[in-house]
Amino acid sequence: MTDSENNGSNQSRRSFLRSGLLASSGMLALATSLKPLLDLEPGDLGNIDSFIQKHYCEMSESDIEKALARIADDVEKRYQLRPDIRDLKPLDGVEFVYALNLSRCIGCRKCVHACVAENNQSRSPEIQYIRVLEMPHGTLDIEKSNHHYNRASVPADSHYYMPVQCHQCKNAPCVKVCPIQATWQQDDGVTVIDYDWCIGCRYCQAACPYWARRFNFTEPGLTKKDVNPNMNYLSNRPRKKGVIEKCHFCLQRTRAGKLPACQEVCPTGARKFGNVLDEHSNVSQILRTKRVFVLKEDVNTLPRFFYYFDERYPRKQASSETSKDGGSA
Amino acid sequence: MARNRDNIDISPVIVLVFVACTTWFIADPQDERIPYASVANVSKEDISTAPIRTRLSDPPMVHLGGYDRDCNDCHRIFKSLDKTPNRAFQHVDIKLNHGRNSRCFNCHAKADRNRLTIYGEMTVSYDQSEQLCAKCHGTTFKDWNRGIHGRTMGSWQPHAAGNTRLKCVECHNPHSPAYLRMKPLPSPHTLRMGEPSIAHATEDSPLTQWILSDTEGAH
Ligand code: HEC
Ligand code: HEC
Ligand code: HEC
Ligand code: HEC
Repeated sequence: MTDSENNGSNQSRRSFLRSGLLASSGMLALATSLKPLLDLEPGDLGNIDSFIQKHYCEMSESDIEKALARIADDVEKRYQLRPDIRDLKPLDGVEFVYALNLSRCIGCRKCVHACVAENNQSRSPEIQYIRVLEMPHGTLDIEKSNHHYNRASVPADSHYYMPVQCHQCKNAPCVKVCPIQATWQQDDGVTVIDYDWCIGCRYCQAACPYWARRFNFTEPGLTKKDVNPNMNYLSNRPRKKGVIEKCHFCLQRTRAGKLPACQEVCPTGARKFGNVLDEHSNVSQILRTKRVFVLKEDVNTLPRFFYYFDERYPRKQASSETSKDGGSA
Repeated sequence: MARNRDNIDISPVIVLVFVACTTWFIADPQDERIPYASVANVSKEDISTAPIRTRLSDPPMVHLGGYDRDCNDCHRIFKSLDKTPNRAFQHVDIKLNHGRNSRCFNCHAKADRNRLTIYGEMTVSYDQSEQLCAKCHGTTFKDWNRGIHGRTMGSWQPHAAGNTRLKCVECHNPHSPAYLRMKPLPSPHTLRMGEPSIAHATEDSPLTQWILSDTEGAH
């Protein structure tokens, strides 16, 4: 009896120590698991306004004014410059369409980088909306493409180049899968994202057959000198960690009547952008006179992004003047 | 015996697990494994929207022999030979590589060197050089006129004020018109683009490079 009593008190002391050790090491583990919180800067959690903000479509004029002012303040705090941020609405009687002439494109990637400069993407890690695929002549098999080509000069012999970006599909899978309608199509045919509403589930990224969506896995690496102050709510305002983004036909430019950055920088004039509802626009004429096709027609996404070849294809070997070696890799 | 088994004490194991977790969180070994790309080196000039060639204005001024002069300043004096255009002293850098279009006077007006020739006596000024190209490249010119060939800058509205359409000679050298090759800007340096062809990824792919560097223990 005494034995067992002794045992009992021993055990209770021991079990007390034991559970104490358990609890304190558990607390320690819990505390260190919260370590990332130490890295938070005062402004990181955003303010309460952005937290309780409504979905873009449910915001009133004054709500939007308020949101724009908040974003402008945020940007100023983060990048020490006052952005010119607006909320441009779709224009009446306008539906944007892109057309790309594959017999002109030489794969120089100027569009890729002009896009990055225009749209405030993260520079490191790199986020780019346009991907230029290099493909051997005579195939349209994307599995055979390479977007990491690094050559002394382009175009390489017997290859052609196919830039791919968001196709602004009429029947957009990304819009359908979004569980919270953070991405939707507007009247001018552009699929937009409310970055404040996106929860980062990346369903849309998985659903897109053109790999057009990009996810901010980390806090975007954008520095003050790279910020483009001409911003629009649904397009190129700075994003944050954990949201999806993609090409939006440069809404901050196109809804103000200008051309997308990728179009204006293209040195070959392969890129064409315009309003299909206007029968005199270049894109309408291309759709009428050229043999256009869309990528992955079989998935029935009805893209607003068309590719075409001119009659002369394949191109004659380009001038050998700047191409001692074709940079064959 | 049975009692003993009931009493097997797992708390040291739990404590160990907790301590292991703590060290893991503190050491944070995952942090450096994210393959961040360095920022691509792209200058403002790389993405400038300026045309790749500058064209001549009207009248065409050239810098020859240390002076700026228009063509007629010399050609008023030098009379051209009637048959084969000769170029022993001037314009020797010009090499025609324009298919069968191999005569200077297919394009340059013989009598007035400040103008381009269309047909017979008909000439156009240098700032309308597309009319010259049009006489041989009708279909391309038609496309250009509709905004399909070449590039328009300014607005997507077809006839908006302030639109500029690049001239043929701002992209093509009239003497050697094939479009020149150029050096491509840096390739993407990210894994987060939903690799379309990992199986076919080349050595340039950051994924390949990362895997290689990892297996060599360089990381
Ligand atoms: C510095 C004086 C000078 C200027 C300026 C000049 N040329 Fe000439 N050019 C000559 C001479 C001299 C010849 C004769 C070729 C030779 O003997 O080398 C010639 C020859 C030519 C020819 C070959 C046919 C011929 O007449 O024999 C063409 C075409 C021509 N020039 C066009 C032009 C054009 C176009 C301009 C203006 C952009 C121009 N030249 C400006 C001096 C000049
Ligand atoms: C396809 C028509 C065409 C032919 C053929 C042609 N030229 Fe020209 N040339 C032009 C045009 C157009 C320009 C104006 C280019 C510009 O605006 O940049 C020009 C510009 C020039 C210039 C001034 C600019 C420069 O590059 O120095 C000279 C000199 C010249 N040509 C000489 C000649 C000579 C000599 C020949 C014959 C060997 C010749 N061209 C053949 C169309 C032609
Ligand atoms: C007198 C007729 C004539 C005129 C004027 C003319 N070209 Fe040509 N061009 C030709 C011929 C012929 C070819 C060769 C076609 C071939 O080889 O298949 C050609 C070929 C070309 C090519 C294709 C070259 C290649 O190797 O891919 C271009 C680009 C071109 N011309 C641009 C121009 C431009 C720009 C102008 C106006 C400055 C012009 N041409 C004026 C006759 C002309
Ligand atoms: C924005 C630049 C740009 C302008 C402006 C431009 N071209 Fe071109 N052109 C190109 C490119 C790029 C190619 C493809 C060349 C290649 O494949 O090597 C091309 C090809 C051509 C060809 C070869 C035939 C073909 O269809 O491939 C002709 C001819 C031609 N251009 C004529 C013209 C004429 C004429 C004009 C003016 C009315 C003009 N170009 C204006 C960029 C331009």
